Amino acid sequence: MMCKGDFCGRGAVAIWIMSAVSMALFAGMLFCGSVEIGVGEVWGAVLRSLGGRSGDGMSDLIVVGVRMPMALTAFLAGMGLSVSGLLLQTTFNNPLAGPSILGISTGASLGVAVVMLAFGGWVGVGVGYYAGILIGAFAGAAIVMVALLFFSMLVKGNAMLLIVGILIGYLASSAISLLNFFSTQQGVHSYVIWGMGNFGGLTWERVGVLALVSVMLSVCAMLMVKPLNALLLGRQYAESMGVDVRRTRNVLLVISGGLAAGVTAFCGPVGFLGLVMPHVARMLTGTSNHRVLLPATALAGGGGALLCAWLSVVCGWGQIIPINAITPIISVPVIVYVIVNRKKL
Amino acid sequence: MLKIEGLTTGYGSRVLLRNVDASLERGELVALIGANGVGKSTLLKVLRGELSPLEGLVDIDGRNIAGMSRMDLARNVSVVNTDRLEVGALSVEDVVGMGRYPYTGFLGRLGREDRAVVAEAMEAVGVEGFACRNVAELSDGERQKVMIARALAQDTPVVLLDEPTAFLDVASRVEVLSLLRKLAKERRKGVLLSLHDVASALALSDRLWLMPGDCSLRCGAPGDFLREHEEKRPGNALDALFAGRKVRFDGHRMDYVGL
Repeated sequence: MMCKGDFCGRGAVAIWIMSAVSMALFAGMLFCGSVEIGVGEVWGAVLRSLGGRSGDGMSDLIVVGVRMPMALTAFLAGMGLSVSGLLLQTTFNNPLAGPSILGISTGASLGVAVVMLAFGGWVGVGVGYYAGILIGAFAGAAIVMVALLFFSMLVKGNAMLLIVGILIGYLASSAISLLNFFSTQQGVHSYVIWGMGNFGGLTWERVGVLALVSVMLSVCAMLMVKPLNALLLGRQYAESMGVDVRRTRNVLLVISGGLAAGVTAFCGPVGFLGLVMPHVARMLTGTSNHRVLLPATALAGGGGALLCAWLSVVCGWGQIIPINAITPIISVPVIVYVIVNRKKL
Repeated sequence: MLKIEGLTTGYGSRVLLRNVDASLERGELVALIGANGVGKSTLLKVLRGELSPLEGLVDIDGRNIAGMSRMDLARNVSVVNTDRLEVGALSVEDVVGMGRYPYTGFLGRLGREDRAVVAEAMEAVGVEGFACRNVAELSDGERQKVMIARALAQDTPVVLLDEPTAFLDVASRVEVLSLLRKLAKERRKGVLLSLHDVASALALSDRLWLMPGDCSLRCGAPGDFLREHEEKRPGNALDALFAGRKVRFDGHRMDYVGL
């Protein structure tokens, strides 16, 4: 008796459902906002933009210039963070690993803080400035990654590594505070705004860069399904089946660090999604097989971020609630469920 | 087939085995026995290429494993260890299918032939009935059988098992050992397993590798060791195995008893 091809059965159903929900939320993002725009007008604006024509009405400006990039940003950011979280969970064999918990997002924030606060005064606002933020985020995430890798060789046990990650996060936070303390008021203001986490406000060019980073690295992750699955059996089994565990681990950390850094550079430190969405995907698909779980996690992450973004728009009564005020409300119950039911996941 | 020549194992200056020779043939079940900390796991690590020997060489069908690539080694030696797996939700078929990794391409997709090998491996250990079940929901004994099926799917002449029965109840322990014996015979594999259960080892294995803790490895059939012991030869291996501990070997029970 043989069971299932890769995308038959429960995994496929889950992926279809998540796709449908994501599309519905994406549409929700286009139709909802502080300015009332009729359904027909939104629809018209979307069609015009898909046809490559730009209308110049107010509704076009809002739907195509603001809402659509925000929805796309949310989806791409959620996808990137969640794939990053899944890779970390498998690499460290720890269901509670995630880019924010292990201090990687905070490391990226520190990199951004250095660029914004220390250089912000004279770099100026331009392409160079945003490239600098991106590079700062990558450098910060990379430093934390290297530290984690180093400590993962020293400390035995997964709980200990989590604690080390949390401590590294605190260290980076305190460095950020110090930078804030000694910085100019203007720098602090822009950093604080950035630090609240926000899917909005990206121009189409920057959404394009985010898409490039998120999609490219997620595809790289998809190419690693074979060693990822082998790692589920533990280092020894993986090695006995011909997997170069050390190299695999390094590659996985580079991919997940890159994803976390890329998203953090554009959206600020967004907490919890990377930790929680892989579990949502696992629960919905019922499998840890990365061939199904990885695309499912990407979708769940995108959909989850869209849900958070939609709530931040709809519940704000005309204003947008900071995204980091919403992610814990959705995520913490899931984490508690995971901790209580650890055996199954 | 598997040959050990002049092998010295250990870590740095701490030598566990010195200049030993041994062999493992196709169709043979060999039990590796010794006290905790005597270096059984270290020897197994050397045999599966994870640790370099301090001296000497290990070869399989005349090829030194030190010169084999990772993939090459994975096609020659498969491994089952003690770990209680916490793999999450993988189906039995997923896990057994991983045994094909040394043969599949970059993405690890299983071809028609691979699937046939996997199905056959599951049948050989008797887990084909729950191919779709989640390994996390199996009993320890069933899970260990799944890991053995995975090793079979890896299709290697040598199978190394590090205390595969450590967490199992008596029934599963006997089942797993009998299964391993059957597989060694029917599939002409060289199966080497470290074991604490001396009675089962004497009853079920073709030969024993005993590690008495004096850096030697004594190889022989169970009958030879039992005879040696019965004749009360000084320094016989069964007495030497736990010398200095508060146990002695009882020839009638075929096991160690308290002094």
